[in-house]
Amino acid sequence: MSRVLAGRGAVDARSARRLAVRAAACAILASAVFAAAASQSRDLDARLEVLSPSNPEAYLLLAEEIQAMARTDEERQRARELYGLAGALDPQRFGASAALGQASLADTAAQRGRLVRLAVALSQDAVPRQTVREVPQAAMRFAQLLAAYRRGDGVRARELIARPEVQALVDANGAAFEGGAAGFRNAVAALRDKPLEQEARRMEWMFMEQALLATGGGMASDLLRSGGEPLAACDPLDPGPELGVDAAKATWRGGRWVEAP
Amino acid sequence: MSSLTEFDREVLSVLMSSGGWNASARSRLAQLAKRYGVSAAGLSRVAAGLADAARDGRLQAQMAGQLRTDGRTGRQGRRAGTSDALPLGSAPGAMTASVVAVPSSAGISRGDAILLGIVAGLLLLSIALTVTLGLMVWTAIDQRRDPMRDRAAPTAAPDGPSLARDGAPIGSGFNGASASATATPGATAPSLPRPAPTTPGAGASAARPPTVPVSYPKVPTFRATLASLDLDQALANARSAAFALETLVAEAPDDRSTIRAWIGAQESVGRTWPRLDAVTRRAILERSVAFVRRIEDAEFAEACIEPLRAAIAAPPDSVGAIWRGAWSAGLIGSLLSEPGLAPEVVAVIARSRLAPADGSGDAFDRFAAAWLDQQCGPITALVQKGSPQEDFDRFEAWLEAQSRVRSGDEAQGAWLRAIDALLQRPLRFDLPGTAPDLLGRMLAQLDWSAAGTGSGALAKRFEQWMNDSAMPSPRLWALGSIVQQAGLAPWFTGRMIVGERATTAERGEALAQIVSALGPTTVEMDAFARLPREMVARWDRLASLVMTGGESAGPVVVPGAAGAAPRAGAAAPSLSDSALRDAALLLRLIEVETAGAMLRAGRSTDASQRLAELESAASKPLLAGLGPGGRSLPIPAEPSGDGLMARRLDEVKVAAERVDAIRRRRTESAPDLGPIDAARLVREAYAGEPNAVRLTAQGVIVDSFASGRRVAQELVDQFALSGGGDPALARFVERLTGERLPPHTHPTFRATALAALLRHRLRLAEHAWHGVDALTARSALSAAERLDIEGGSSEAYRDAAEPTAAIESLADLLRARAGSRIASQPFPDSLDRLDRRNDARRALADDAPQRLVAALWHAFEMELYLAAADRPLMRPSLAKVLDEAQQEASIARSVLEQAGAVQRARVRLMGTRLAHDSGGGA
Repeated sequence: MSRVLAGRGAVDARSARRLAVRAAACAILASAVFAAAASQSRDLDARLEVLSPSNPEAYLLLAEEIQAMARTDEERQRARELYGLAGALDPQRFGASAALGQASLADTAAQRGRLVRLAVALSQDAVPRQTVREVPQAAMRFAQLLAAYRRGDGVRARELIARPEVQALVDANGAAFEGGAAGFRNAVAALRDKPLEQEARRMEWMFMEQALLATGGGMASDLLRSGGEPLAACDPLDPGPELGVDAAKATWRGGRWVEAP
Repeated sequence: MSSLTEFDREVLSVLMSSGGWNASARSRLAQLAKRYGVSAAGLSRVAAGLADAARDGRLQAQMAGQLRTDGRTGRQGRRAGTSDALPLGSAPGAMTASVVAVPSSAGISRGDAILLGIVAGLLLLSIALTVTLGLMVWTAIDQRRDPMRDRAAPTAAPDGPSLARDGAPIGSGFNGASASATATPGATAPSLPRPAPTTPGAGASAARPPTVPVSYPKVPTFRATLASLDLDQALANARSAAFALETLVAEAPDDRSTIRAWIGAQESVGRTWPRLDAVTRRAILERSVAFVRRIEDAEFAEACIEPLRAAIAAPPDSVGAIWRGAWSAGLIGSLLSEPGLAPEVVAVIARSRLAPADGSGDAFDRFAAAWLDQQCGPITALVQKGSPQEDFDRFEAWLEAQSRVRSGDEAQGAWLRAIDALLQRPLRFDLPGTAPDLLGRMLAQLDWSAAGTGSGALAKRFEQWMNDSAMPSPRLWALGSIVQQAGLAPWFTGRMIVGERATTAERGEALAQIVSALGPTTVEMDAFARLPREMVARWDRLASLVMTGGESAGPVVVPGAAGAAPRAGAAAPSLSDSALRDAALLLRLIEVETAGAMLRAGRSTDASQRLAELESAASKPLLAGLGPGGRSLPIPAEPSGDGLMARRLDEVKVAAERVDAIRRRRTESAPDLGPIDAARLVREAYAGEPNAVRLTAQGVIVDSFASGRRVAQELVDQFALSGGGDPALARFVERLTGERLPPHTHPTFRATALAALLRHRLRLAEHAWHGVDALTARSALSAAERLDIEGGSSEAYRDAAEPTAAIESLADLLRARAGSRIASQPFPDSLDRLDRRNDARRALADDAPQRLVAALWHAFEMELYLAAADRPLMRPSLAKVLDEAQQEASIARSVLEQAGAVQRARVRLMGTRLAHDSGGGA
């Protein structure tokens, strides 16, 4: 019995040692990873601190470098800031490049579109352009969804709204629906063969469908397509606000951008 | 005593005539020192020398001698930039030495008492001069802190400190603020202001004493004579060229030698055209144009035009270059206005990128004038870079060419712009030299008569100069001095001369005097000043009413019209409702601005009528209804017997009977069907079998139910949810909608056909979006009217769907106008920077509404620029208008609201200009 107990004790001691070794290994590994990350962060801090507003190109180059290796949102944000500062410090040389750099980091299509337009505006040979729109298949599906809803065809409507490209259009045009995009989804989910009676609502939707399906079409169609988005203000000589930075604060100290001492 | 300089003698003269050392003597000595360029230290040494001489008892002899030779004082003394240029300064006590060299002849018995008195007086003089020196040094230090004085420091001014530049003490300046100087204006006899003729305006304010003008040895109105053997020869060549061109016109223009001859003729004429009589010049122009008219090949056209372009681009550094450039620009203008040229040739000529000047005259005159205007800057920039003769010749050539293409008010404007360009240069106009002579020459060109046609422009330009803080007072001092001394304007008094160191308030006083003297004429001659105040007040009330909100502008549609009522149960305005409200406000704002422009243009009758229309807006709605084009649509009658056709179609199986059942609907008087029959008929039209049934259903829809809303709705919904397509279907949709579709096999067929069916359906009902389009089209008409008022061609824009093109055209027109203005302080920014901002906005604009906002901004900025250039006094008001516009536009929630914000700012700007023009503004 005592041997058994002793044997058990030996087993427990071995298990404990193994656990301890594993824990130590994990701790060392975690420390190493943490140390590596900290070291990388320190390296980045050091590189940011040597940037000087007198050399805007360095901001642009570092932004490209960080963007290429960015894994975290923080790193992507840092790249955006660096692009912005390069453009704000020397709009003539780097304004367009900075806006394009930020466009490549944009989270949404709308944001990307705005930044690309900004890049065109900041380029030296900016010329007015006429947008050529393609009618996406999604617009047709969206029109089918609304037609199905108008007719009270719940089965067809639910099948169409399940498509991601249709969902995106429902979200983008949420303002046209009572209760927004979510309200419309609920209404589609509950649709049971009851046609839409409201003439005003039908008309509103059909204007929207027509605008999405066709190019041109006048002021109303454009307002429907863009949702009435105002013209972005951009001073090509001072694009800082549009690029989301303050050119006066282009020195990195203590983990943030500050004015040059 | 023989080495006594003129300066020494004048010092003695001043002391004697002033009765010894006193405030008057001090002031006059300072002026004297300034005139001779003697430094403060030099003046001190003179005083010390005088004191020594007095102590030695030899001054009496000097004074006696001075009394005898008093008339010999001249004004050609050496200019001493530094004190060592004078004998007195070259060795301290030189005066003493010179005085010592003359034996004393005074008798001690008579002179003891006098000598003692003089010695005591001179001791006091020494002390006083020391104090004066201290003041001079203090003033010099103070002046270095004065930014305006710094800006005034000329590049062409002599180096080193001098009294004339730095040392004028506060109490001894030429400025009218100097009590001592004005108390003894006769001290500097050559620069005495002549007795000012009294004018009602000038006499009204006598509080400000006359300013002592700049003392020029000769009134600077030098006029060069452009005459040389070369010029005579060139004139003879030009006359020969007239005959040569007559021959060339008859020859084939596709021969290189002919083209070379044509170019040679242009070269000859270009060198001397202002000297040709009008008939010869006209004949040469006509023959030159006739030659180009026969060219059909771009290569030959290029060969002809290229030398003209080169002449236009050449710097205006000689008489020949100036005249050739103006001739080439004028000829290109004549060619551009020639209707009979081949398109290839027009394309080549258009590459010259020239714009005409505003005003009367033919194309030659306006293009040549515009080119000459552009040369103002380069020609003035060349002043004092070469020989004076070259400067004078260039200006004479420019003047002569301008005189050939402009007259009256336009010429007055050109001279004023040239004077302004000259005054903007960092030149010393208050010292004798080329600069004041050129200024005087240009000033002599002006029509100064108070009743003259150009007095309005004159007053405006004076207003601009006086209020321009970047314009140094010494330049205006010189300008006023020349005007007065040359006797150019009888009404121009010494009180209108700006002092060398005039403060803003003093410049304002001088301006008030000038405006007062020109006042009645200004009111009479300025077209804007004829504005009836009651009309302006009426416009102002209306503008305030419209700007306070859309509701004040009246209803959008006829009350009670179908679709006009707000949506029941709508919690918040939809995008269409907001857009309708914004579009209505935008239209009203554009209409109000157009009415204001009519007022400013002197079209009082049109303006009054337009104001009456706008005032009655509360009872007259903007639109009859919310149907397409702003029309009202009838409310459709409810059809009876719904379902009968559908039942019949279910009952019969034979194709002929089914066709017959559908055909019977043709006889229906109602334009629409009930929901059951509409759905069934459309189903048969899309998918009926056999083909005859389908085609019959399609025909019945097109013929009888094209305006039926239910049928149209079914057409949309069933098409969207069905698949496929065939040629018959495509033709059916085309016939129904009137729109051209791609082939049914094309990938975009279904989307295009559905969009066409949607538009068809939408046309049959009223909706706010139709109102938005209708109001936008109405705005286009008003914007085209606005363009028309400014002299632009508006025909192409009157029927446009949007006002954007008309506003862009207006902005371009104003931009061209702004390009010919010379603004010393451009507002809101330089034209280059405004152009860049405009380009950026246009690039950012992604759709029609955003392009409208960009166009409005462009027009607004150009209007601001021109308003500031014309009326610098308005600048604070303009800055406020701009600031408000930026704020309002930045917080706008939608693009149409943003357009309204910018247009509101344009209305405010119009209000500011109207108030100013009618005499009610600042």
